[in-house]
Formats: sequence, structure tokens, C-alpha cells
Amino acid sequence: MFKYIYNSFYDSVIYDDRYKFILEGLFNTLIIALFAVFIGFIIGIIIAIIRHNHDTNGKLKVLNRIVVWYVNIVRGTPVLLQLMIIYYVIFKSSDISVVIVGILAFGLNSGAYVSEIIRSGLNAIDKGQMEAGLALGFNYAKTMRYIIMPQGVRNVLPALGNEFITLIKETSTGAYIGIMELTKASDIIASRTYDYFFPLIMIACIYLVITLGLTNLVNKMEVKLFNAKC
Amino acid sequence: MLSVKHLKKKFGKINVLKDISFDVEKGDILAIVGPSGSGKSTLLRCLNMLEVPTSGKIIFEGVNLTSKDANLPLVREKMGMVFQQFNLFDHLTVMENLTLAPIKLKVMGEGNAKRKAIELLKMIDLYDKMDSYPSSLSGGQKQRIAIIRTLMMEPDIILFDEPTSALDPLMVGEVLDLIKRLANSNKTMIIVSHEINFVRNIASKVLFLDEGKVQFYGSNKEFFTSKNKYIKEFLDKVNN
Repeated sequence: MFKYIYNSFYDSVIYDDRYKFILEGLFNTLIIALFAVFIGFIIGIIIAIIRHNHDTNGKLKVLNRIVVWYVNIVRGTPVLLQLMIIYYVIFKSSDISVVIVGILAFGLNSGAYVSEIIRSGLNAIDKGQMEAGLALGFNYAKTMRYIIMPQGVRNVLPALGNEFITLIKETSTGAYIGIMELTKASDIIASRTYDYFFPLIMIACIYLVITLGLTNLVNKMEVKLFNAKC
Repeated sequence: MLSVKHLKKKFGKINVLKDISFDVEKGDILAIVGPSGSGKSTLLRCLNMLEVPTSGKIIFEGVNLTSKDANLPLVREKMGMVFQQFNLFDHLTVMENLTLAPIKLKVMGEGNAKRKAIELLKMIDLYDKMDSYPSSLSGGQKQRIAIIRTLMMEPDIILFDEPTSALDPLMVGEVLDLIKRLANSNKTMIIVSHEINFVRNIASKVLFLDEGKVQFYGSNKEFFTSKNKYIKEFLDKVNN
């Protein structure tokens, strides 16, 4: 038994420098998740502001309709399908790096979810805050910038942290279009050793370490934010 | 200074304000009184256009606020408002609450804004709360900070929307005292209030609103000595 595990470990990790697959996979997983969450945050904020402006002032009707559809489509279809459409249809005849395709696809996907998170944060703010800003002489844009946005984003920081954790796990679907991320790395190793047990369990542990670590951070942030409010 | 002409406001099919007209001169302290649901707060909120009137004119320092090209943010800088629920900015310290608008709206520089804030905080004996967040203050303290926050902008008129009705009875006094001090310093203000004794003490004019109509508009003395049946009935009710 012990020998089997040792052999499996040796074949999967040491032999032929196979650990390099794991490292590359880990690197790509983190890079894609990081950039995607960044893109998602930017898109999310823009969409949330458009929708908030529409809901409070009745402006931006066309833009609002477009972003509502964007959110519906993204949230209503599987992320793997979106990834495939972007890779096989939109970037069909270009030699763009799959990692960049992954960043784009997951970023666009995350943007829709983040926009809903931020929107809920903005809606949770008492409308007196907006009125107080307006009454002091701020216009709508400045009230949003100095008063509403800082509170809205602060309220949803833990939820945004959870979105990042979700993204890290979702990047595994990138293996389907050949992105060399963690899941793909284990798949490649297994295809050489004909032994799936060790590579799969190993990367499962790596995902777990990352996500549990981040969950811990998010929980700490939640407690801190809660205390700051009381 | 402020002139309201034929102001009407409908919420859906309900006529909340029916043809309201009145004037406020510099130095006036106008109290708007009336039973709950008579439209007092709506009227006050129309004056700075937080509530958009259905029709009518509001002319403040020569600008008609209901016209499309009125620069509302600029007008509101000169028309302070104090809310029932204080509405301090929860994510900012007391000092930041006071200085945010004057600095960002370029009414004064950071140094001057801070100096003025300290001066006002000392006036209301809350200098030691400068770096506190609103969540750590009592209701009375919050409202007093909210009042000096509007003073920071050096408004020409201040609107008070039931400034003491969300307060613990023990804290009403400190807020009323501050408003009284402002009244004595000749500030122009409009106050919606249920504190009828307070109104009697400080108001120069009274507007009595019932069912969206002005039932009485005149001097303090005329109001409190009125023989009108409705007014007497109202005064009897609020005094008990």
C-alpha cells in the first residue's frame, strides 16, 4: 500500500519533471482567476451603476436594457458553453493564446455575477444617504462616487471574495479548450502514467488549500466589517 | 427670498399637496405644522426638489427650481436640509462628514473646512467626537452633527424635516436648543415639527397644513390666538 502510493507519487510528480505541469497549471489557474476577477469587477461596477442610475433617475433606458440582457444571457447559459463560443466561434481563425481567451471568457462571465452582487450592495443602502448627498449640493454622479459606492462596495466585499473563490474552481472548465491549468495538468500527467488516482487527488488538495485559505480570509474580513459597523 | 406659488403634488392619483402658496423672507422662521399625513414633509421635500412637484413654482433667490434648466446642485448648496433620520454618512468619521461637501464642491479649501468644522464642533460640545464614526454616537449627537454639517456649507436657508421625531425623548432638548441658537443668530429656516411648544417659542410665521391645503398662514401670534375651530382643535390635540 505504502509502496503503491510512493510509486504513484514518484511517477506523477518526480519522474520526467512532471511537477512542472502542476506548477504551470497552478500558475495559469491563479493568473486567469486574478485577471478575470479584475475584469469582472470593472464590468460589474459599470453595469451596477448603469442599472442604479436607471432605477433611481429613469435615465439610460437603452443601455439598461442591453446590460439586463447581458446579465440574463451570461447567467442563463453554462460557462463552459460561453468559453467554447468565445474560443471556437469568436476567435475561430486567430492564434490568440488560450490563457487570454480564458481570462476574457471568465472575466465577461464574472462581470454579470459581480454586477448583481454590487447592485444588491447598492440597493441595501438607505435612500437617506443619497438624499443627504443631493441636499448638500452633490449631483447624482458625485453622490455615487463619494457616498454610495464606497458603502456599497464595502458591504459586498465578502461576497466578492466568494466570487473569486468560485472563479478559481470554474477555471477548471478551461481544460476543455486546452488551457494548461491545474485540472488539465493532472489530466496530462494521468494520460502518461495511466494512473488517475494520484494526479486527481493531488490537485483536488491544491484547490482545497487555496479555496479554504481564501474562505478563511473572507470570513475574517466579514467579522471585521461587521465590527466596524457596530 | 423663497416664494412658493401654486405648488401641487400628486402621488399617482392621490393629491398630496393642493395649490400651496407662501413666501419666506430673510430672517423668517417658518414652522409648518399639521396632523400626520397632511403633506408637511412632502411640502418641505419639494422645496429643494428631493420630491419633484407636479406643478407650480418654487422661486429661490431668483431661480425657479421647477424649471428644467435650474442648476439644482448649486441651489442646494445654499439650501441646507436636516432630516428626521439624520442621514450621516456611515462610512465617514464625524470630521469627514462635515468637510466632505465643502471640500469636494470647492466651497473652501481643506484647511479652512477643518478649521470651520472644529469651530462648529466646539460650539456643540462634540469636539472630542471628531474622529468617531456615526455608529458610535447617540441619536441626539448624530442630529446635532447633521445640523452643523449643513452649516458647513453656509446656507442661506435651512429646512428641518421633523428633526426631533426620531429621537429618544431625553435627547430632544439638546437638538431643540441648538436649533434655537441658530434661530437667535438670525438664520432663515423652515421647520416641520410636532413640538408645538417649541414652534410657539421660536417661529415667526406658521403655516398650518391639513389634507394638503393651507388652512392657515400667518404670524405666530395670530396662529396661537386664533379663534378658528380647526386650529383650536388641532392645538388642543397636540397639547395633550
